[in-house]
Amino acid sequence: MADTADTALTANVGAFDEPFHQIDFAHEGVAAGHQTSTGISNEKLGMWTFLGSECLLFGALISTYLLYKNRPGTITNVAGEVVGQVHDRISEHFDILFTSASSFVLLASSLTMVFAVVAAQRNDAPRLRLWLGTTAGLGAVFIGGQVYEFTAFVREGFGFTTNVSTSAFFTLTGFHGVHVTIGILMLLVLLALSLKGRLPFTKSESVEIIGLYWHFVDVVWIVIFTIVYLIK
Amino acid sequence: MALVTARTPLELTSGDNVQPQPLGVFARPTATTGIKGWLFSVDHKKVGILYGAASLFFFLTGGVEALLIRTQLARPGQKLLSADLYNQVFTMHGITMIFLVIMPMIAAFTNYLMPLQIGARDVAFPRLNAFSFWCFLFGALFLNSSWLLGGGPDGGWFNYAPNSGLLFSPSHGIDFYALGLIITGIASSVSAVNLIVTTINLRAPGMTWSRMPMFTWMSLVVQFLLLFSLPVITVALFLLMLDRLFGSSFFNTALGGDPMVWQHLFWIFGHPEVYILVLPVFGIVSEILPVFARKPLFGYPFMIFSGIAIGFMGFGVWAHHMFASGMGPMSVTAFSLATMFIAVPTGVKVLNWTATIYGGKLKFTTANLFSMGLIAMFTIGGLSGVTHAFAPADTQQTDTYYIVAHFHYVIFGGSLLGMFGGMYFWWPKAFGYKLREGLGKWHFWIMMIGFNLTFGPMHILGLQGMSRRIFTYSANQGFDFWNMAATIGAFIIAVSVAIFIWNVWVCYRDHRRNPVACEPDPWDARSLEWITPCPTPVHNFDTIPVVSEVDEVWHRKYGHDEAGRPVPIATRAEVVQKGDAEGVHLPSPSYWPIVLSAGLPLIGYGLIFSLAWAIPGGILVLVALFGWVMEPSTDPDAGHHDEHPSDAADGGDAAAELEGSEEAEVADQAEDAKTVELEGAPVG
Amino acid sequence: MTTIAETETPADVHPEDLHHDTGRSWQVAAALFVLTGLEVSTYFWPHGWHRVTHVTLIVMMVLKFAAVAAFFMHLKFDHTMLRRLFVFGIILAMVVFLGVLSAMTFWVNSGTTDFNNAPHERPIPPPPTRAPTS
Repeated sequence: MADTADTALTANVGAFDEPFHQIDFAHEGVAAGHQTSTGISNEKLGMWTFLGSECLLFGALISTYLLYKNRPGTITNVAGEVVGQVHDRISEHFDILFTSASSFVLLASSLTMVFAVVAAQRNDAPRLRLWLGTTAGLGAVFIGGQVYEFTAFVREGFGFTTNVSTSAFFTLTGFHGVHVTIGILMLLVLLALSLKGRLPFTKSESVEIIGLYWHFVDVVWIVIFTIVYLIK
Repeated sequence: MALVTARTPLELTSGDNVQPQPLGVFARPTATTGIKGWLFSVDHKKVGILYGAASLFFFLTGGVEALLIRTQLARPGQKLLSADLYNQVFTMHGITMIFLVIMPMIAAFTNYLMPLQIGARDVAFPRLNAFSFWCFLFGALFLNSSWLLGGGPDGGWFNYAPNSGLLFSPSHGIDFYALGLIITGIASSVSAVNLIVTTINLRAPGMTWSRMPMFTWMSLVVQFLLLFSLPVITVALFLLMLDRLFGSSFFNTALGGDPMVWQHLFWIFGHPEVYILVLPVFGIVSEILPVFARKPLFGYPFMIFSGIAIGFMGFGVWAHHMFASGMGPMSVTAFSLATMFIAVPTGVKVLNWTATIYGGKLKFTTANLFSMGLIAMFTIGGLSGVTHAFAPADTQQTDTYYIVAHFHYVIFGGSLLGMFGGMYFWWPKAFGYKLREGLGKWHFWIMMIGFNLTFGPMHILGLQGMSRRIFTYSANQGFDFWNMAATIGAFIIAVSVAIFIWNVWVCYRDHRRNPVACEPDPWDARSLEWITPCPTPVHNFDTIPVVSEVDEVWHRKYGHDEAGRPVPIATRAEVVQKGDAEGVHLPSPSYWPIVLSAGLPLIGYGLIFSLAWAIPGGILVLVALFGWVMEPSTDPDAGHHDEHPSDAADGGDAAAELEGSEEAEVADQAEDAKTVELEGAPVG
Repeated sequence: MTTIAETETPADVHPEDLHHDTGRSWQVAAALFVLTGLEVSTYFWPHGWHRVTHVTLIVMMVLKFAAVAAFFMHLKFDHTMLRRLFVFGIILAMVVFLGVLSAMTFWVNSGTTDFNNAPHERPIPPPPTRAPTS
């Protein structure tokens, strides 16, 4: 860690060795990130730090699901007497082919997000808008699929409170769905800013940063799809 | 969007003067003094002072709760508190002291000092910093409002299932616990991201990793611990909330849930939390001791690496809190071993402090007394902690007063003593006047006596078998004498805290009457924050210093003769900056941090009582997010009228200034997204 | 716009970024789609293969994860500090939660392995009999 940072620092000494009014606070936060100690912009570093934290969040949710997915069975009361049976677990009712389609949609949205970032870096505003819109649209399709999946489960008799496996399943996938929804909202905000002309080339990095969030959500789905849906 | 002033960024490239048009959708605050100057400030120093003031307030609250506990236990069969009320009081005492006192007090020190120690003008995301504070404060008030709304949480700060279930805790207390800690957790997570980015990215030129002050190093480690441990407790609290408010059964054994899941998730957070509470204080002590021993810190690199090692290993020992939970001999053995190992880096720190003092020209100022008190008291607490690492012994000690004694020796004797030392040390830095040394020494000695009288006997009580969390005991159990001693000790601690408050008041009054700022660098100190005058000017540094040594300020003041003895080469007045620079652009105040955080407790009330409450909360959050995103972090209208000879010549510079500030919003928004997500998930 | 483009260079346009063009993204995406197709196909694999299936699935998941992180999220070409931050988070999450999962499944007192048998569950040896005196 030390080596790279220290090199960056020495390289930056020149930049800092100016009269104070040229290196005041407003300049330190510039998008280019040329004036930070590492050369990474604050926003990008902040996003990666946040994503590192999110790993633990989803780790906790996934392990909760794994611990609970086979839990249904007999229901006992406090005294340990059997008072009921849970007929089966939610994992036996996954519609794998439907969820696969959703997964392909989310993967495709990652690809279009890459195109959006490239368009932003090339200062190609029309394509940027096109790909931002496409990405948000694909995300919306994914969310629509998830809503459909949830309602189908509920119709089959698997509600949030049916048993611990359904609770854990809905909590995990619900958390992921909320992440995707927030991502869609952020993409739409970017799109609106771009249409208003408030997303100039100097700020193209914000597209990349939102893109990082989007890809992370996709990566989490890759894990959920394998561990929750495919491994029985 | 329609309200946004239409403006294309192209207009700026010509190098013309920026036209004074507001970029945000709403007007932004301009006051820098008075109550508005505090409410809407994004200055890291003001935020730090606010953190400190809030934590002292909650310290008094938690202290009153402690006195209630000790009065109830003073004699057998006391009837001051009912069993139920006693449960609430000890639970809130724990929660208050950990989450609302020590953590924000650490945040106070980190916010105030860390940017100064690395030579930065502010943190990386100033508005997020203000948001962290207000979010913490509103979360804390939300948590404490449970007293008035049906009773506080009553399951202990760890709230083990099944006690935390509706069956055993039907009041709303634990709902307040879950939601309140989620809100304060958001505050700490955001703050962790912010401070990590600040430490990594905003260091002054020459401030390499191997030259960073120890306090900054330790707070960096702690921010990483917060970053990685808070998501886990957030999930656990979420599951608890879903159990209690939405009818799931994650921790309900009768319906297939497993209380062990709660214990694991809680302690994966809970053990790093212990280091979160104490590591920054290790940093504080590592700053104070060298100053008053007039020697450099012994083994600086070892101190860094032992701090990092404690942080790493802190994630691998959580299950030693669960030796009595029946998790199986293999787990117990593994975690027992890991726990014994973690004592090693902690021991390295204690030995290095001792070596720092050894042979030094010690000055027994109050700050130094508190630091040395920490070494002694923390060592006692650390040693009793090692006894818990041995699972067979721990089985005997679990849930007895021995545990209570242990963690008060590390948290009170470690964290709190060190932070009082830090307050005496940095008070002139923050406020421009010293606290009185005489009263400070009374404070220290009375606190030491009271502390040892309160918590020392608890070792004996615990080994005699007195259980934790019982609301009373009977006369024939042999607990009477030491309980009475502990109660007397608790009131002696209260006296010492009163002396501290009196000290603060007297010094404040004198300073008001005779407002002369104290001399710069009053302690002849070593690290970079002392290069600024006292109190720190709003722009921190006149010029960003270029760093070439670990103890930069010391090395600017002293050289060495042939024998290696320090020789003055410059006076303090020459080294310390004047603090009179003008025209420094600083982040502008903003309404949105406080508005955004005000929405969160409302959503919490909505989840607990009626969703109608959540509607104004949700609207507040949405409006605040909108205003936040649309508002540049540095107001281009403010402070642009000073001479900038370079701006006219360098058009791109002005553009970067204007646009770069706005850049922060989109990423900020991602952080805020977490807020929304946390609040929105149960609904959606 | 062009004026800005000449005077201000966003941080992300490094020389290495030339690698990161649409062509590569198509290749990576194609690989991801193929892997996902393979993943879905495991659904139809015979039940008897479940060990092989699970290992294959995990390997494919790791590959997909790495591909998205390295290429789409640009981690392969970006500052090493970002890579370390993220990888640290992932590894920490894996270690910690594998610890939890193992502690709650095969390390519990289930009697499935020898060392987990509590002492009182082991067969108690018969009391020693006194040697006959003669």
